[in-house]
Amino acid sequence: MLASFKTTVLSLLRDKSMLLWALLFPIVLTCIFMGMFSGLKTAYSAVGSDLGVVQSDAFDSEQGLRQTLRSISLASNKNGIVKLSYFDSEASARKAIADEKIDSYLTVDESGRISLHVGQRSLGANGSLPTTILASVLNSYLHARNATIAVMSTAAYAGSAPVDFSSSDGVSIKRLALTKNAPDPDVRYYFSLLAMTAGIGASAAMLSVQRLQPTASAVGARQSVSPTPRWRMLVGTLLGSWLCQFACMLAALLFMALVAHVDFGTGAAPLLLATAASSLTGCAAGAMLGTIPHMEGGMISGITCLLSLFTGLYGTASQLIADSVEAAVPGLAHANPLWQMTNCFYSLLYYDSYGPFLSSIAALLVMTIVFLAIAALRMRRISHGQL
Amino acid sequence: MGSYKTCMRIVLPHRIYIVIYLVLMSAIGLTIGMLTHSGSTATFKPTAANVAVVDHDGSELSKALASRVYAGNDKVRIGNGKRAAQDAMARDYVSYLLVIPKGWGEGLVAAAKAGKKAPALSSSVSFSSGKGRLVELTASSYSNMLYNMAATLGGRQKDVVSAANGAWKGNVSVSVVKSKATPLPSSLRVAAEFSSYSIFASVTVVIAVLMQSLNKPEVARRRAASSQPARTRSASLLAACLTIALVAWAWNFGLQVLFLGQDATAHEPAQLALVGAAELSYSLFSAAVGFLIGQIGFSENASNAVANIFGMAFSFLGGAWTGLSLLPDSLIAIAHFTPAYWTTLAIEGASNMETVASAAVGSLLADVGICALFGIAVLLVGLVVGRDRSTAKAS
Repeated sequence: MLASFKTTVLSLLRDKSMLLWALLFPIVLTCIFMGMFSGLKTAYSAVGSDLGVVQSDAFDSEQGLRQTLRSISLASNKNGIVKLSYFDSEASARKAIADEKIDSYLTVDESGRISLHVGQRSLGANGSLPTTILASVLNSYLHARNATIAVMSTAAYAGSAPVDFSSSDGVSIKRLALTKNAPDPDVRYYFSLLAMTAGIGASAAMLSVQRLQPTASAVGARQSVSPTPRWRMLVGTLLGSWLCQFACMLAALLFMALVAHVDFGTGAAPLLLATAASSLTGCAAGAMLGTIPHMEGGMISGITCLLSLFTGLYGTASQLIADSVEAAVPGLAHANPLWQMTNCFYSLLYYDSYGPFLSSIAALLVMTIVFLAIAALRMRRISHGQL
Repeated sequence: MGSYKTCMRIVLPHRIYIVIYLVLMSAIGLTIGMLTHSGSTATFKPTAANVAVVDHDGSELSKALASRVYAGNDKVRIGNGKRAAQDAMARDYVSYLLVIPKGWGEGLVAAAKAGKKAPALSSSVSFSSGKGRLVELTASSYSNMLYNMAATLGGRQKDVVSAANGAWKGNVSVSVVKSKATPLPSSLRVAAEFSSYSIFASVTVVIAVLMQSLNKPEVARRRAASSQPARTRSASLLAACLTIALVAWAWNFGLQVLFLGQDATAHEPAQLALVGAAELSYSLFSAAVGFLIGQIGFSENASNAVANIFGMAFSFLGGAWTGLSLLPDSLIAIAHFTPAYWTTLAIEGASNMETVASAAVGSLLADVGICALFGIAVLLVGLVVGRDRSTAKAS
C-alpha cells in the first residue's frame, strides 16, 4: 500500500499538467479576481454617472439644488455619485450625450420644474440604477423644498426664518450586522474557484486509477498480476492522489488568504476540514470516472467547467442562473458536489452556527462513499474481465 | 482534400469537447442572455430593489415609513428566525432590510418636540450595495421628513404622516434622449460577450487535440513520407483549423441571432453585423492559439488546462462576464493586451451606438481588426515554433 502511495505521489508530481491545472490555475485566476474586485469596492462604479447641468437663470435661483448637487459630486465628496459638467444650452448638452461624453443632463425650466434627460446609450450600457439613484436624490431635494413651503405657509411660521428640511440629523440609520461577517460580493468567486480546483483535481485521481488498469499499459498489466491485493493498490493510489490534491488546494487557499486577503471568517481547523472533504470528494469522483473506458483528462475539466456555472463562477449572469436553479429545484443544485464545496466555505463565513457547514460536509462524505462504491464495483469487473 | 477529410475524421471522435465547450457552454450563454432583463431603453424604468421591512413598532409612523420604502420596490417576506435573515442577506435575496424598533413612532414624536435625536433605525445592506444605497436614500429622507414635520408642525402621529405625505409629492421627470441608432437588445449583448469563452475553449481544445494526433511520431513520419507536397498538407491543416473556427463562430452567432436577435436582423443589421465580425475575429484568434498549442505539442490534459486558464483569464480581463464598466482602470490598462477586450469593446460599442455613421463603424472595425492582428501574431509564433521543431528533427 505504501509503495502504491509513493508511486502515485511521485508520478503525479512528475506530470506537469497536474501542476499546471491544480496549482497554477487557481493562482492565476485569483490574481485576476484580485485585480477585478479592486474596482468593485468603490461604490462609484456601480451607481455613478456623468451628469451635465444646463445653466439658466432658473437653475441659478435654485440655491438648494446647487447645494444638493455639490454634496453628491465626486469633486467635493469622496463618496459622491456624479461627475458634474456644465453647459450653456440644452443643445450643447444633447451634443455631449451624442458624443458619449455624459450620461445624462439636468434642466430647470422657468416654473422651477426639474427634469432629468438620460441618454439611451447610457441606459443600455449601465442600466437604470445610476439614473434611479440620481432621480431619488433630486426627489428628496424637491420634497424638502415642498415641505419648507408647506411649513412656512402655516400661521405659526409666518415671517420667521426658513426651516431647513434637508438636514438628516433627526433620524439616523444604524448598520445592523446580521451575518457573522458582512456580505461581500467577491468571496463568492473565490469559493467557486476553490470548488473548481477540487473538481479539476479529480483528473489526477482519474489518471492514477487508469494506470492501475491492466489494459492501460504494460505497467498496469504487470501490476494486475502482482501478489499485492488489489484493494491495497487502490487505497494507496487514492490516498496518494488525495494528498497531492489536498496540498494543491491548500496552496490555493493559502494564496487567497495571504496574498488576496480573502476573509474566510473562521479559524484554520474548519477550513482544513472543508479543504480535505472537498479534495476527497474530487478524488473519489476522479476514481469513479477513471474506471469508465476512453475517459480523458480533458473531459473532467469540461464537466467541472459546466458544474462551476451552477456555483456562480462566471460572473453576475451565471450567479443569477445558479440562484434561480437553487430557488426552483434545490435538490438539483444540492446534488452538485461543487455546490456543496462552495457551500462549506460559504457557511463558515456567514452563519454563526456550524450546522449548515457540517451538513454540507456530510453531503460531501456521502457523495464520496457513493463514488468510491461505484469505482470499486467497476474496478472488480474490469479486473475479472481481464482474467 | 484527402488530408483535410482525415483531419475532420480525427476531430469527430473527440466530439465530447464539442458537446461540452461548444454546445453546452453556448446554450448556457443563451440562457444567461434570455434571463437578462431586456427592457426597452426607449423609456426610463426605475430600478427596483428587493426590500424587506421588519416593523416591531406598528405605529402610524412606522407603517407610513414601511409603505414608503416598499413603494416602487419589490416587497420580500423573509421567514422567521435568524438563519432565514442571514440567508436573505448573504445570498442577496434581499438587497435592503430595514428594522424599525418598538416604540419608534412615539419616540420620534417625543424626541422631535424636545429637539433630541429620534431612536435610530437599523438596516442591513446586501452586497449589491448600489441598490441598497438607493433604498437607504428613501428611508433616510422620508424618516427625516417625518421627524422635521413632527418638530415643526407637531401634532399627533396621524397629522405628522399626512403632512409628510403632502410634501412628498411631485417627482423629477425623467426622459430619454433617444439615440439615432436603436441599441441592440441587452440579452443579445450579454450572450455575445459570454460566448467568448465558449468560442475560445472549444476552438482551442479541438484544434490542439487534432494537431496532437497529427504530431504523434508515427503519424508524423507517415505523413512526411507521403507523396503529397508539404504545402498541400499544411494548407489542408489550415483549412481544417479554419473550418473549426468557422463552425464554432457560426454556431454561437447563429444561435444568438436566431433566439435573441431576430428583430435586430430587420432593424439594426449593421450593428448586428459588427457583433458578428467581432465574434468571428475572436474565433480566428482562438484558432491561432489552438494551432500554437498544437505546435508546441502539449498533452491533451495540458492543452485543456491552457485553453481553460487562458480562456477564462481573457474572458474575465476582457470584461466579457462582468461588463467593461465594472473593471477598475488599472485592469483595463492590462486588458488592452488581451484580444477579448477589443472584442468586448466592439460588441458593447455596436450594441449601444449613438448613430450608425462611418466614423463610429470605422473605429469599431478597428477594434475588430486589433483582435484579428493578435490572431495573426499568435499564428506567426506558431509557424516559427513548428519550423524550429521540424528543422531540429531534421538535423
